[in-house]
Amino acid sequence: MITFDRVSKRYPGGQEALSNLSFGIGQGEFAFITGHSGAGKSTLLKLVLGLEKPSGGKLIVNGRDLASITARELPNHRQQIGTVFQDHQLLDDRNVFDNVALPLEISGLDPRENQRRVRAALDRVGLAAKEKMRPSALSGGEQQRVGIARAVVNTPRIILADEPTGNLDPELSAEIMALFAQFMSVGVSLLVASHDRALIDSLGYRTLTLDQGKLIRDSKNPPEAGSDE
Amino acid sequence: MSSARYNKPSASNARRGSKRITRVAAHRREAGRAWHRLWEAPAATLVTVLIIAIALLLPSLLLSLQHALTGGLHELQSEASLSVYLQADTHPDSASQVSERILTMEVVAAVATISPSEALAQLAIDTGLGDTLDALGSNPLPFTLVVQIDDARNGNDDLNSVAQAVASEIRGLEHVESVVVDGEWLRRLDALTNVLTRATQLLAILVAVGLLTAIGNTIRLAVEQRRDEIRVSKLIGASDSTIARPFLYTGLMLGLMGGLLTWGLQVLVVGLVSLEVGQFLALYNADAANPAVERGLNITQLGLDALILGLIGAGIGWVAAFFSCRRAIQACEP
Repeated sequence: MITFDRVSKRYPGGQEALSNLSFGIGQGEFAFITGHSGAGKSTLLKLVLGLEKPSGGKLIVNGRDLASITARELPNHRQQIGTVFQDHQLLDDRNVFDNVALPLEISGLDPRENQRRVRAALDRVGLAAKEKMRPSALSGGEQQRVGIARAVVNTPRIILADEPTGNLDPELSAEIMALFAQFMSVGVSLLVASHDRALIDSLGYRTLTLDQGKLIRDSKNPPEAGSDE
Repeated sequence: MSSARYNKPSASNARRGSKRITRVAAHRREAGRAWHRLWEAPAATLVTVLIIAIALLLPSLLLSLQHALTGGLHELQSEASLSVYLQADTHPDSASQVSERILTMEVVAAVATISPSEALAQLAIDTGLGDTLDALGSNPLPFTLVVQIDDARNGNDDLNSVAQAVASEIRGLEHVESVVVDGEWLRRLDALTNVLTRATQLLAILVAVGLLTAIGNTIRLAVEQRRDEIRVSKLIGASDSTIARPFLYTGLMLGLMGGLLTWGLQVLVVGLVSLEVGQFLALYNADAANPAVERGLNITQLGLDALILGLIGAGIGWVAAFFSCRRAIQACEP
């Protein structure tokens, strides 16, 4: 689903955020990206979402080469990816239902005709009873679950999450991860950036470790003897 | 673009069974949303509409003033006539010969002959100087021929230039002392109307530029207010044109309401002023109905005016929104 082939990203001014990154995420695969802040986790997710363009290498997402994608094709590309943000990015001038319905609206679906899908997504994250509430009236964990419902309502094949448990206590974090695991089981690929080592270790999924823009460890393909690590 | 997206079969199986929204329904929804947002801040909306209306009112009023004037002028000019003064000692028979000769000219409708004695009698009545004129002993006035130009045969030619041409032809005739084209002042008024037209056009351009800036600024602020929503929408995959749509409707609606309010104000102002205009035209013997009043009372014309002003307002609003929101939306990068 996602293939990084010697991808690098250099910002104007010479700072190299990612260098020579190569790995692949298959269908139904769950992978963590970890590393210190500034290691390049967010940049990596931005590349996948098409918010930034790679300055070198080849990045294929959903069968599309993102180096050559046009600005006109980008919206369509993003519609096929569910994204969960650390700070939820919910809109407080509309209720929970309308927040979750936003991606349907954007991809040209009729939210009224597709209420069932919004309700199913809310049901999935256990918030079916709160669809009429404003996001700000919900707890942090609930808001994040609304964010997840919004990310999955369009049945994307890829879900990206940037520090989805950044502001949550361990118990809620485990809950969120359990939710993600459900989607993995129906064939969705998940790429989750997190620096919560304890949580990552407790789950035992594939983990990609970044350090200063370089991939220094991939738990699926452990470095062979004699290399740097 | 959105059209391509609507038609493209979705890659996802789950989407295939979902009901897509029709373009018309999508536009109706965006328009409804724009309308709703306008009245979330009613005071700001009303002020903007009022500004648009007042700005449009000035060129619009000038235009109807100019219409009224040219309408009145046309009535007056359709009665173009020449005064032909014959030489002092012209014999009455010669006078009638000249009169008949003029009558054969193509554009001449009628020739009235005023003999010196008739002219003197008229002068005595007009001036009240009967006794003084009697004291002159001999009549110093010449034969006068009043030549009426035929409006119908004139076609599309400017009546004034036709009159001038006929005048110079008559000047070449025997016994003719001088020819005066009546209504010299009409040509001055005509020139004044042309100045008014130019001024109106110039003002209209300035007002359009001003309105584009004002509405554009309003829309830009509206976009700024919805920064978060736009950023999130972009992250989720909304195209710039999808995001822009409700703002375009906002501009369109502001302009439309401004245009219609302009029309309302104009009907009011013209209604109040038309009586005075009627009196003004009556001073110049325009016995035709006052065009301003006629316009004001004509329901079809009223509806047409409202439609035109509404369309102008809506057009300006849309164009302003188009240019300002495109830039503002591009600036909201996630």
